[in-house]
Amino acid sequence: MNEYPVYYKRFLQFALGLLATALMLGLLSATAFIFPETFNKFLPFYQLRPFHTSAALFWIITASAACIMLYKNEVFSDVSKHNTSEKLFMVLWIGSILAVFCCYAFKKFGGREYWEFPPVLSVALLISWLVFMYSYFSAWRKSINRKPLYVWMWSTGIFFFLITFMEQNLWLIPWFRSSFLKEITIQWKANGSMVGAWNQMIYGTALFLMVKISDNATIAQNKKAFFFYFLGLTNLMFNWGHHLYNVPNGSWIRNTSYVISMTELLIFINIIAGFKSKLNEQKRLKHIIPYRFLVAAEYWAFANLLLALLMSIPVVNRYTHGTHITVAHAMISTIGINTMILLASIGYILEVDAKSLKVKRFINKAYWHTQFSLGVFGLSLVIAGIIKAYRTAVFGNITFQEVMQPVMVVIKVFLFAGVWLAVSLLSIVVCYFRLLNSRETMSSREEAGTVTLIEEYDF
Amino acid sequence: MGPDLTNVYSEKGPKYMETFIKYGTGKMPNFHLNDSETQGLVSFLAWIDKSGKTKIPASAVHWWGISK
Repeated sequence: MNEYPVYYKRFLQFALGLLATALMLGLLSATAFIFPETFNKFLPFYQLRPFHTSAALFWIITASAACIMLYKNEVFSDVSKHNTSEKLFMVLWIGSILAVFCCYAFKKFGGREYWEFPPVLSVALLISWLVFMYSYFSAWRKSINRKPLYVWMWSTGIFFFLITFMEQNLWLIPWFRSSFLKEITIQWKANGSMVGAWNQMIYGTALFLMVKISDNATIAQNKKAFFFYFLGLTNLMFNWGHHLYNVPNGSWIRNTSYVISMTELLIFINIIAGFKSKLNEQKRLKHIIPYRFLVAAEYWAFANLLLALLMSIPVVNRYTHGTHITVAHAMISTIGINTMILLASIGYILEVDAKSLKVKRFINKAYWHTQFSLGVFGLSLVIAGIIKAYRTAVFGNITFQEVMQPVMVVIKVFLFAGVWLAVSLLSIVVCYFRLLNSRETMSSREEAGTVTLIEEYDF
Repeated sequence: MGPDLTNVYSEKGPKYMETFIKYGTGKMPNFHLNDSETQGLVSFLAWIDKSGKTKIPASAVHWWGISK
C-alpha cells in the first residue's frame, strides 16, 4: 500500500475525535440524567442527548467514509485522481458537523430525533455527501478491475445513505407532517433503513479486512457472501418494519422484517467464523489487533442477536418497547459491532501490528477492558429495562417517578460501567490519534517482519 | 427513557400540563417557556392525543401479544 497523503490522516483524526466526543458527552448525559437538580442549571440532559447521539452517528458515518476513501485507492488503483473532490468533501463534511455542534451549544434545535439541528444544515450535509459520491463513483466507473463483493457493499451503502437521509428530511414538506402517525412512521422507517445503509458500508469494510488479513479473495466471492449481500440489501429496504412496533401496522410487516433482520446477523456471524477457521496462525499473528477487534464484533453480534430475538417476541415487546432494553440493543450494535469493526479497520490502516510492543500491549489491555465494561454496560441496561417494564405492567397507576425509583439504582451501575467503557475506548482513540500524528507513514505493510511479530505474539 | 406522553392530554388535562411545564419537577427542568410557547406545547400534545391510545386493555390482546 502506498503512502497516504496527510489529509487522510487528519480526516481519520477528525473521525476519532467524534468518537471521543460521543463518549464524553455520553458520560455527561448519564450523569445529568441521574443528577438533574445539579445539571439542569448549566448542562441539561435535553441539550446533551442530541449532542451525544449526533456525535455517535457522525463517528460511524465519518469513519466508514474515511476507510472507504482509503481502501478505494487500492481497490480501484486510483490514487491522486480525485484529490480535489475528496478534499472538498472533507472540508464540507467537517464544516457541517462543526456547525451542527455550534447550534447544539447555543441551544438552536429544530430537526427530528438524532438529527436535531436546524434543517438548513441538512442541505450542507447533503451537498457534502453528493461530493463524496461523485469522488467515489468517478473512481468506480473508471476502474476496469472486476469489482469484488465489498465494493458492491460500499457502493450500496453510500447510495442508500443518500436516499434515507433525504427520506429522513421529508417532514420538511407540509403534507408529510399533516398527520402525526404519518410523520412518525416515515421518521422511524428512514432511521431504520439508514442503519441498513451504514451497515452495508461497515460490513463491506469488515469483508475487505477479512480478505486482506487472510490473503484469501474467495471469502468475498463465494455464494454465501453474495447471498449475505442480497439479504443485506433486502434488509436495508424492508427491515424497517420492526422499528414501527408502536404505530399502527399489519403484524405480517413486523414479522417478515424481523425474520429478514435476524437471518442477516446469523449469516454475518457465519462468515466471520468461516474466516477464522480458514486463517492460518502466521497470518492471524501478523494482524492480531484488527483480527481481535473483528472477533469481538462477532461475539457482540451474537449477543445482540440473542437480545433482539427475545425483545422482538410480540408478547415480550409489548412490555419492553421503549425501555432501556431497546437502548442496550442500540448500544451493542453501535459500540460492540460498528465501532469494533471500525477500530479494526483503522488499526489495519495504521499497521498497528508493526508498531512497538509497548503500543500493542497498551491497545491489547484497553481492548479487554472495553469488552468487559461493555458487558456490564449492556447487562445493566437490560436489567433496568426489565425492572421498568415489570413495574409499568404491574403497578399501572403509579407515577413515572415511582416507576423509575428502583431503576435509578441500576442506572448508577450503568454510569460506573460507562466511565470504565469510556476510559477504555478513549485509551484506544488517543493511541490511534497519536500514531496518526507520528511522522511514520501509514505504508510499507510488507516491511513488517512476520518473524518479529511471531516472537512478540504473547503481548 | 422518559414517560409516554401520547395520551397525557386526555389523562391529565391542560391545566395540569400547564402547571407541570411552567414549574418543572425534580427530573424535568423548568424550561422558562412563555405563555404562548407553553400553550403551543399543550396544543401539540392535544393533537398527538388524537392519534390513538397507547394503553391497550389486556382483553384486547391475544396471549402471544398481538392486538385482536
